[in-house]
Amino acid sequence: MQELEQALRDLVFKRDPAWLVGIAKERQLVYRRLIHNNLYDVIISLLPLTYHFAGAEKFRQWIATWLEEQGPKQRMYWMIPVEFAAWLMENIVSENLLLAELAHFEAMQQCAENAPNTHLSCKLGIYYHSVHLISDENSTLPLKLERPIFLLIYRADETVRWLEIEPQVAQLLAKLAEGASLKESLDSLSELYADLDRAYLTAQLAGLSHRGLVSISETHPRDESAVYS
Amino acid sequence: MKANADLNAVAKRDAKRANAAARRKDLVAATKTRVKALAAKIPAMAKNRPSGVGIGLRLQFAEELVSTKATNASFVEIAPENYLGVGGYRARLLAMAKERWPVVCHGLCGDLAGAAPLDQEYLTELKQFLRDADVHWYSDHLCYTHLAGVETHDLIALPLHEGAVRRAAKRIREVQSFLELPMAIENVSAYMRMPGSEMREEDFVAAVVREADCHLLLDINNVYVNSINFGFDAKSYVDALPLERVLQIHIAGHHRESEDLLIDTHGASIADPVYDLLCYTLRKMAAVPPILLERDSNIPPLIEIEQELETLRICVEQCHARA
Ligand SMILES: [Fe+2]
Repeated sequence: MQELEQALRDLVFKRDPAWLVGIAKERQLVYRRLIHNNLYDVIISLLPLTYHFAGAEKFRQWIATWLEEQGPKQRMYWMIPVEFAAWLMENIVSENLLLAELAHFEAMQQCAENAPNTHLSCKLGIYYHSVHLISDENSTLPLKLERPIFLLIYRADETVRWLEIEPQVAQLLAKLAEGASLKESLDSLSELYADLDRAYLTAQLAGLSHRGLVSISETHPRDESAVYS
Repeated sequence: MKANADLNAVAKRDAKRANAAARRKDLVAATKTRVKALAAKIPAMAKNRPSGVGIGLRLQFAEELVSTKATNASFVEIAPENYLGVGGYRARLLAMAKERWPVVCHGLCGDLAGAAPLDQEYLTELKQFLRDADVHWYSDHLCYTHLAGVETHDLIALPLHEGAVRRAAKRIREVQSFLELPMAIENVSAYMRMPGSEMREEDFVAAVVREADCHLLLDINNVYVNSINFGFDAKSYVDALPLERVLQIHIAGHHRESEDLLIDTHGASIADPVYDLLCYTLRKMAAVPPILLERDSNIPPLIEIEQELETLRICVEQCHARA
C-alpha cells in the first residue's frame, strides 16, 4: 500500500504525471484536477494580492512546483497558504523579494486571524518593501527600501491590523521571543547600540503590552516561522 | 381435610406469588445492573444527541445561521481541522453554534488506512477538542487523505482488498480507543478503482465496520455517485451494508460531468435519484438517524439552504411514515 501511495502522489502532483497502468486516463485526471483545484482555490483566496501582482500564470507555476517538490504537510486547511508562503520565501526570494514578502505578509495575516484565543495573536514581519501599503488598486509596486521595516501583525476585535515598530523595539521583541528576560535583552542590545535608551525602549514595550500586542512575562506567541530577516 | 387442602392450596399459591415477586425483583435488579453497565459503556449519550436534519457549518453563512431566529437545522457539523486551535471569529461562531445545537465533528484528514503512522500529537489535541465540543461520536472517511508525505486535503479511494480492510480496521480501532468515543466511518465517492482491488465496495465497507467494531456514516450521495461511476446497482449496495450500524447519514448534490461520470461536488441541490435512494435506505432502517445536508461549494443564500433542509425533512418524514 506504501507503493500505491507513492504512485498516487506521483500521479497527482508530478507535472509530468506517472499514469497508473490499466486505468482509464480520464478517470486518473479527475483526481488530479479535483485535488489541484481545491489547493489552488484556497491559496488564491487567502493570498489574493500576491496572486494579483504575480499574475495567474506565474502564480500557478509556483504552486505546481511547490506541490511537486513539497506540498502541504499540515492538516489545517487555512495553513495551506501559510505553508506555501513559507516555501515562496525560501524559493523565490532571490529573484522576487517583493512578492515573497507580500505572500509572507498575507500569510501572517491568516496566522493572526486564526491564532488561538489563549495566545496573543501578534506576528512580526520584517520587510524591505512597504507591503502593508499595497492594495489591488496599486498600479505600481513599492520600491525596495534601504532599511527594512518592522511590522507587528495582530488581531483586535476579530479584525487583523498591523503596526509599524522601530527596529530596536523589534530586536528587543526578538530577544524576548528567544526566552531572554527584559534585562538580558536590553543588555544584549546595549552591546549593539552604544546610545541605547533603555527607558524609552521599556516604555515602548510597556505600551505594546498595554495594548495586548505582546506579553512581557511570557514571550510567546512570536513563533519563529513568523520572524525572518 | 378440605380445610387443610384449602390451606395447602393457599400456601402453595402464596409461595408461588412470593417466588414470582422474588423473580421480578431479581429481574428488576438485573435489568438495572444491565442498564447501568450499558450506560457506563456509552457515557456521553446522555444529552443533546443530534437528530433530525442538520447542516455543515460553512463560514459563508455561519454568522447568519447562528443568529437567525428560526432554522430547519436541528444540528450542525464541523470539521475539527477547520477549528482546532483556532481563535477569533471562527472560535466565536463555533461557541455560538455549540450553545444552540448539538455539534457533530467530522474529520477530513484521518487517513484511516494510510501508511504514515498515526499522529499522536494531533490525536491528543483532537481528543480534547471533541470533549470540549461535547460530541457523541466522531466520524471520518474511509479513504486516503495523505499520500507519501503530502497532505492532499482531499479524499482518495482505497484499494478494495483484505489487506486494506485489516489496515483500516486496525487504525480505526486504535483511534476509537484513544479518543474514547464511538467512531463512524464514511463511504467516499470515487472516480477509479484502485490497483489491487478485488472486493465490491459495499463488502469492503461492511468488512471494515465489522472488523473495526465501529459505526457507519452512510453518505447516500456517494453511493449514488459511485453507482454511476462504476455501473453498479445502488440499492443492492445499500442492501449489503450493516444498516444497524449507521449513526448518521450524509446527503448532498453532485455534478454530472458525463453519462457515466458524476463528481461529488456538494455544490448543487440533492438530485431526485439520491432522494429516492435515501427513502429506500430509511425504509430499511429501524429508526431514522440524524441526516446532514452537505453544501460546500457554489453556496447559495441561506434561505435556499433552509428550503432544501425543509424539503429534506418532509421527505424523511414521508419515507418513514410509508415504512
Ligand atoms: Fe459526506
